[in-house]
Amino acid sequence: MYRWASSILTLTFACLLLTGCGESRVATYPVKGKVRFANGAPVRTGIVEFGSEDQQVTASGKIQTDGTFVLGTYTADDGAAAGEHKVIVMQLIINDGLIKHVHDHGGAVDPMFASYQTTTLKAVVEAKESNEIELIVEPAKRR
Amino acid sequence: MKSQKLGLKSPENRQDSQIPHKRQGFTLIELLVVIAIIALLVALLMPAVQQARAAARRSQCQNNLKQIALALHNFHDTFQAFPPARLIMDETQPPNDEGTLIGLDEPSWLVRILPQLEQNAFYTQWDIYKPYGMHPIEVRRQPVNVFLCPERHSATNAVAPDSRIEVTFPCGCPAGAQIVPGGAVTDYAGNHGDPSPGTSGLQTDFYWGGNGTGVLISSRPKIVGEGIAQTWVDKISMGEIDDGTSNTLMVGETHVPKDQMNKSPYNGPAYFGRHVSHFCRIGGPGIPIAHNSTDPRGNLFSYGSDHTGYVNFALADGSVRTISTSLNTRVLANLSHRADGQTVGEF
Repeated sequence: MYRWASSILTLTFACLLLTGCGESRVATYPVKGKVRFANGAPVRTGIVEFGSEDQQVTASGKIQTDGTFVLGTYTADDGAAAGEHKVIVMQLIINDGLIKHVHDHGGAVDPMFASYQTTTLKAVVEAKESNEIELIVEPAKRR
Repeated sequence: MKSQKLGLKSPENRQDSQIPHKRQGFTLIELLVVIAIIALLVALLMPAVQQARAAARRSQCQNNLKQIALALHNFHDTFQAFPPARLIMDETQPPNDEGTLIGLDEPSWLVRILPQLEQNAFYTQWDIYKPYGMHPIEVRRQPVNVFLCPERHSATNAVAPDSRIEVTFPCGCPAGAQIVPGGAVTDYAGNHGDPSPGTSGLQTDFYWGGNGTGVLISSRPKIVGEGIAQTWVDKISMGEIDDGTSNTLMVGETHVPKDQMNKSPYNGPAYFGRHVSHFCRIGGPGIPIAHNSTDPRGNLFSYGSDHTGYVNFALADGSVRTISTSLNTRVLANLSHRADGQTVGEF
């Protein structure tokens, strides 16, 4: 009898150790996509970020030179939370005149897309195995 | 008769014939079993040992941030303002003929707080209004332990060499070769603010003098005479932190890709004011905290660390917090901006 009790106790303890006290995470679903200008040219640099409208999470992905991106929330590529999102495109283009250099970043995206207050981009992530999202942005007025 | 015969034998011989059973060693199987059990126990223990070591490095890192935060508060007591991250003109002031800006090459905030870190002897070797490159090489190359996170650097491996580097900007543009006078590096970065743009609307407006929305920001120099900076103009004091010092970041850890260790501009000489990425970071929408040193979303201006899944921060009230790398970037922006008037979400 005592043996039984002790083995059950040990098992419970082991289970507790294994599960730990991890933070509560929002379920994420794989999202990939492409950012392009209205004329079809890909956006070649920057970060795409999805800010969930009803969850306190943001998912982001680096834009490759062909305009594609893969989103990640808790890791680099685990996807985004399901539901509606506001989407931003952030580019850090250095053009300060301090270092003369060749520009090779393709077209620049209008900075209005870089802030959640001014962006007009929206997307819906569905709770399924793959989401494919195309984003169309406008070029910066001057640069 | 027989026994008598035996009795005649020498005592040594008698022992030999009687004790062999007790002298028998361990069999191979027994030894292997014992070794296997010991190996199993060690294997069970190893992760625990590793975790204990990581925990020790984590608290060492937090302690460093606490020391830096206290030094900044003491600096504030003396000067009624936090130190400027570095000196640089605003974006309307073009560089002079040599392509340089007044104050830009002068030492960074890390040098300014040396006296508050009991590094007086080291501080006296610096002239904070003289270009970094004009200081002796031994001075530039002296690391300060408090500026190094033990998860990434030790004092014996914390110097960026004098180098001619091929710079690639975050946009992917090659910027050609840059000559960087080498020196000691740091793993800690002042909070320069969120990525909200300044007057020109460009996302890189933040690093010009006076534009930063954080606590340790690039400031315009106050110029006297022929291009000599005397003090700094954009003074951030406790009073400017409208969001409250417990809701605003002050110092965090830098993101450095594995192959960029001790290399400018990710992890360059920390006392050199020219490149803001050597000693400052920003955070917010589009600039998330990097998950680890291989995170493709990490760039020159993002926070990050070599810890697993978290970054340590010192807040402006002097407290040290461990923050998850998956922090909502909208919360990160609220924490980075000293006076955005927004309530800070859970962090």
